Amino acid sequence: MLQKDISGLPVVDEDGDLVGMLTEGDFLRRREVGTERRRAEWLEFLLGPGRIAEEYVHASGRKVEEVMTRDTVTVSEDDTLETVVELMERRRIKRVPVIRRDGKMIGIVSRANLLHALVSLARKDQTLAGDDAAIRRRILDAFAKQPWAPQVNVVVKDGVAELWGTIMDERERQACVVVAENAAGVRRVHDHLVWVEPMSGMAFPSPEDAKKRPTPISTVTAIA
Amino acid sequence: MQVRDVMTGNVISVKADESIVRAASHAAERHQRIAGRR
Repeated sequence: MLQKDISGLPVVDEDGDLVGMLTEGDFLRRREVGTERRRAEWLEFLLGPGRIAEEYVHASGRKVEEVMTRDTVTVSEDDTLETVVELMERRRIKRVPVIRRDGKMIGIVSRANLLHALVSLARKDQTLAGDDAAIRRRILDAFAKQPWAPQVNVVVKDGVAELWGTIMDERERQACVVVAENAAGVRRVHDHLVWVEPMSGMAFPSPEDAKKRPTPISTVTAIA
Repeated sequence: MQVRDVMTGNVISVKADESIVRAASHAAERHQRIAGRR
C-alpha cells in the first residue's frame, strides 16, 4: 500500500461482494507499534468486555476481515455528488465504493475525484453540456485500448477535457494528451497529470500547472 | 453531476480472508499489472 500510494482498499468476499474497507486509518491503533487504545479500568468496566474484545481484534488481528472497517456505506453511479459529499461528511470517510444494481462494485469515488470535478467546474460557470458525458466516455474508452496508458481520470466540460492522475514516465504525458485530443468532440485538453519519478519518488506537476506553483510539488516517499 | 461522471473505475480490491500483509502485497501487484496492461 505504501509503495503504490494506496490509502484504502475495498474488501470483497468469495463472491466478489463488498464486505468492508481496509484503510490507513485501520492501522493507526496497532499493538505492534504500541498505539492500541488504552483506557482507565473503570471506563473499560463501563464499556463491557465485548467492546474491549472487539478493539483487541482490531488492534491485533492478522487477517483483513479482522482489521477492516465494516458497515461500509456505498453509492450508485446514478447518485448525485451532493449525496456523496453528505455521506463523506456525516460518516467522516474519504472514499465511497460505487455499487451497481446487482450489488457488484464498479468503482470508487474519493475526495480527490470530487476535487477534480470542483476545479474543472470552477473554471467555467456554465452547466455541463449534454455531450460532455459522451466525450468523456470516448476518451476513457480510447485510454482503455492503449497498453501503455496509466490510470487517468478525465473531466469534460463544454468539450474541454481535463486529465488528472499519475504517470511514471514523462513521455506518457504527451501521449495522454494526444489520446484525449483525438476523441471526437474535444475542443481543448488541459494536462494536470503528475509525474512521479520512480527512483526518487519526487512528484512533478504538468508544465501547465507548474506555472502556477514551483516544482517539485512533493515527494511520495512513505515514512515507515 | 453524478457519481459516474467523476468516479474511478477498475478498482483493486482485497479478499476478506487474506492476511493483511499478503492482501497489501497482492493489491500492489494487481495495481502494477493493471498499470502495465492499460
